[in-house]
Amino acid sequence: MTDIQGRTAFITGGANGIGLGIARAFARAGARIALADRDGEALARARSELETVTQIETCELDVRDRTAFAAAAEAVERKLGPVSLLFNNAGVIVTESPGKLNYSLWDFALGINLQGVINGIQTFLPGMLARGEGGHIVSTSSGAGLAPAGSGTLYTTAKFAVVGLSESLRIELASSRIGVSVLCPGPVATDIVHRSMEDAPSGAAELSPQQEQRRWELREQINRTLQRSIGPDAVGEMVRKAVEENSLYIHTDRTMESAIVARTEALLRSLPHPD
Amino acid sequence: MTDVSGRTAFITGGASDIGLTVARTLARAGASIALVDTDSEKLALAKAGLGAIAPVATFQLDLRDREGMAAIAQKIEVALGPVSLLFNMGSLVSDVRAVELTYEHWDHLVGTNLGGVINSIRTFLPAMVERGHGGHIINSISRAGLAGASCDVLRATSDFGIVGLSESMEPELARSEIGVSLLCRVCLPADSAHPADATAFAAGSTRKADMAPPPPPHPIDLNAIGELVLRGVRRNSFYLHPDRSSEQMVSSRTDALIAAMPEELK
Repeated sequence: MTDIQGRTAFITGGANGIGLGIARAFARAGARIALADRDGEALARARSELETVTQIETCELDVRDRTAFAAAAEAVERKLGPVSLLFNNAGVIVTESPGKLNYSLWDFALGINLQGVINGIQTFLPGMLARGEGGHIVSTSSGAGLAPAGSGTLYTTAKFAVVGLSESLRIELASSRIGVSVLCPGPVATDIVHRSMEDAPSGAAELSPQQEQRRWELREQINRTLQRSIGPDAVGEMVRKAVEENSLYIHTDRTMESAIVARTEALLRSLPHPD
Repeated sequence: MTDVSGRTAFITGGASDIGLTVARTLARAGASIALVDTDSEKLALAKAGLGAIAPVATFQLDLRDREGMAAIAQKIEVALGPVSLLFNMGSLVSDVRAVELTYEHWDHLVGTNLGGVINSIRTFLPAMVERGHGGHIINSISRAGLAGASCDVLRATSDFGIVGLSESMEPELARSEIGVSLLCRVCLPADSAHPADATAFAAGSTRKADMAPPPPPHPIDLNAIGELVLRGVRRNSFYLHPDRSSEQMVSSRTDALIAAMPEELK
């Protein structure tokens, strides 16, 4: 049960998509906002939008860079006060078949989607604990963090890990009054598909023109599905409510229900018969 | 449906406990065995023990060392032939509370447990797919991989990652006739005897204790686990459970997940 009013929120991937939806919702609820993102232009746009609502700072940050993370935290806390609402939201989608994965792809996808979350926690949690004023940590996973959803091995590995991290961390931080939630969105109308392509390293194998074409079609198909879905502002409001109520799981819809149930049935069916 | 006879198996954490048991079972079933471990003395003992049953090569390796693993892969291919069975059994346990974690803890444990699986797959899988002779990958997790609240943060993170990796790879590798299994070694001594959970509980919440599975009814039979793994490879079964101890926590977690979903939009 975390009061939002008067706290400082730090949001990675905060200049676009779900991160910006979270920023808007928490700004309206009276939090000071720090946005970190790799996209400087989008940060400037978000800043000019939100500075009429609340105090805001922005910083260009690659969440894989621990030193830069620490520096960003120090700069933000000097201006906005200590961060007690942390949103580990930055993420990328990279799809590649398992036999073609190279280390650059693994390091890129896990570096942002998992290490970025770890880096956020290591940067801000010690201060939150030392101050003893509670707080909340929300990490963005995915419906694909709960059961495979055809999003590829890189994405699924990282998003599962973020769910496990959050489930365990929540128990250990309860006595410090620091809430932990994991956001597992279904499809949301953001530009993640195209943004992820801009920086992703290439796969191990050269693709034929036909393969390139198929991959492009798949991406566009995913993107069309996203654009028909709920918007990031609605997700931001769901996150605000979850922080206020300290809910562990934040789903944006029931998309994953049947996959989760089927997975659990498979798990239970595979248990040995009782003696 | 992979017959292990005549194949070469790469086994991490292979010099003791479950890794060694799996190595022995595979050796008896006709596979050549490549063991890696951090403990050189145990590796020497394992080599002496297994050498009478099957061709064996052993290598000391930190699973985070990508170049070291690549070099070992080449030596294995020369000595024993190409690897088509991957047994990722090596893992560390943790006794660090979340409030005391540093980057070093994360890098060591997640780098070894999850990173080790990734490195082994990166090292061997592309060639397995390329050769087209099928094969099998077995990854192993503790109970932390099925319900994060039951265990410490480092293992919950790594083990969930390994679960997501395994579940998403399985359908994609089926067309290359490479099977995938996940060994849920929920109640092995390494889990239950370790102080990690006790310190976590002391942090003030009792929920972890509530969620922890009951102790196994009998002492753990390592040989039975070896047989379970061998059957899993031969039949291509995905989840391999030595016992039913994770039943309650898996069900409760799913109930919580479903209960948290929003009402259907009308």
